[in-house]
Amino acid sequence: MSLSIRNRALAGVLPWIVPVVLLLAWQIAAQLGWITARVLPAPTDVVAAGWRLTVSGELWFHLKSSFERAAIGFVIGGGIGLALGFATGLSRWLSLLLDSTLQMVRNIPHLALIPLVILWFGIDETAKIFLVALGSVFPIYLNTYHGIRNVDPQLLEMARSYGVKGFALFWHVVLPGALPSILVGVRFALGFMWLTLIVSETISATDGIGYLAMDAREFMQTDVVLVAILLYAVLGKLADLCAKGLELWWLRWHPAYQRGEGV
Amino acid sequence: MTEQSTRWGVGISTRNLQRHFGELTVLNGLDLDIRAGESLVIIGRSGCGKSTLLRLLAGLDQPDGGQLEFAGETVGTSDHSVRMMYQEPRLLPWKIVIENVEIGNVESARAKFALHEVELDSKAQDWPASLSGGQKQRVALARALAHQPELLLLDEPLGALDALTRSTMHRLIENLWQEHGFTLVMVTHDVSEAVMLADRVIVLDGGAIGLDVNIQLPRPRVATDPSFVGYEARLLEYLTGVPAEAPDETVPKHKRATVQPESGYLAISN
Repeated sequence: MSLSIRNRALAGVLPWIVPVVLLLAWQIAAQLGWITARVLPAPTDVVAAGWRLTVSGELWFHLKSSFERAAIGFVIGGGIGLALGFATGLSRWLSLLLDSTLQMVRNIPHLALIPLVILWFGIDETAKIFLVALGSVFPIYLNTYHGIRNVDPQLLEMARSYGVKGFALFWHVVLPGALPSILVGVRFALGFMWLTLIVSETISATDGIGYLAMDAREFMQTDVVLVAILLYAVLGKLADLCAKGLELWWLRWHPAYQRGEGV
Repeated sequence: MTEQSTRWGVGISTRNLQRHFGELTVLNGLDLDIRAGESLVIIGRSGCGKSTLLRLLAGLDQPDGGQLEFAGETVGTSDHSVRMMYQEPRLLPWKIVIENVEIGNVESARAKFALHEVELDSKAQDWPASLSGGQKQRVALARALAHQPELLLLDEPLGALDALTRSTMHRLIENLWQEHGFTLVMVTHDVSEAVMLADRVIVLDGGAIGLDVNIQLPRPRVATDPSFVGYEARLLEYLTGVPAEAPDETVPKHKRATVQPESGYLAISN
């Protein structure tokens, strides 16, 4: 019994050992001058830089710009992806009409469009939002289409024979059946969203986390660059946690998402 | 909800019913009359057309020829409530039990009553994933009952259940059928289940009725009753083509060619 408690404590500690050792090694190496501050400043310096930016308000300013771009782009791109997925998933004709084209377009890496996007929209806000939206469309489209196509045909047959049709059929049977797959699409799309944001903000911007990093590079402020990179990591993790939260709530009927209840 | 008990099942008749899948003839000129309120069990080997017949009755599939009439009206023009229980419970996993029973605009009081009838009141707020196989099928039964069917179709709904649960389900289905008076048509390949529930058992053979047996046993039936066993033996004998050992002489052991209709046990169509 006491052994199992000890094991559990060990299981809680174990995942932290490697990061802590790495951080300590990094700190010591920086302090002893083995690594110059220009290559990799000490973790304490990075924390100090983060604190400085937070207190001056700069951090929030850039964070807000990036968040807005990400959110607007994601809503537009995700919305289009969802709508296209519903259209092709629900209508065989629309699927025949659109799916092969969409599958072709999706194979173009959307970042390859950057020169074209700059020609179209210049280097202002529209270009960045366009890129983020483009990055979010396809993961959501593919998974929505796939999810709807894979709704259990037996459940559809049952529902139809019980008089459920039209929008009610979509709302009570098709959509919940496709939801697990759609949420996988959302998580993929969130990943693409941050990736696209980073790239588009480093190209040309006057605000945002990407700008913060590029600006700091100009002045060789490696610590600020690291702060920006860490911010992306934190934001990415937060977005993923939100998506996971949605899964836990919307898929609470699913045995895989139920904890401690049932059977 | 008490008006349920005064409802009557619908009578069904098929004439020269045909269904083909490509080259394969599944139903070949089937003539069948089902009395209103009757409990009919269809058995037969795999691929004999029993599930196809059930799907035609459910309106899930259309015949290639012949007539299918409910209460004297061609199906499609009439509006009779037909509900089906499938081999799988087919509950919507994202809806709690009571919402599953409410599917198809059933008012909540009626759904609650149906759930009460299958003795699952206490599970109303649970997710289907937390139910046992037998409980899931009981929810599926409640869902069908909530629509007050005139015809209830059962497509081997108990095949996946253990023997004990199955026999509980037999009692439950029998009681509800007696209480509501709907017409019951069930497909199974369990001969014992057929004798347990049926007023009449038909054996489908080559897309037509091969054997048509009235089961004249008082209810509730007991599987160890000698005449019960006799009926089982008779059906098995037809299905396997091997004469079965009749354990008791209360049921005369005929060869098929020497069936005596007046004995009351057997009536062979054609």
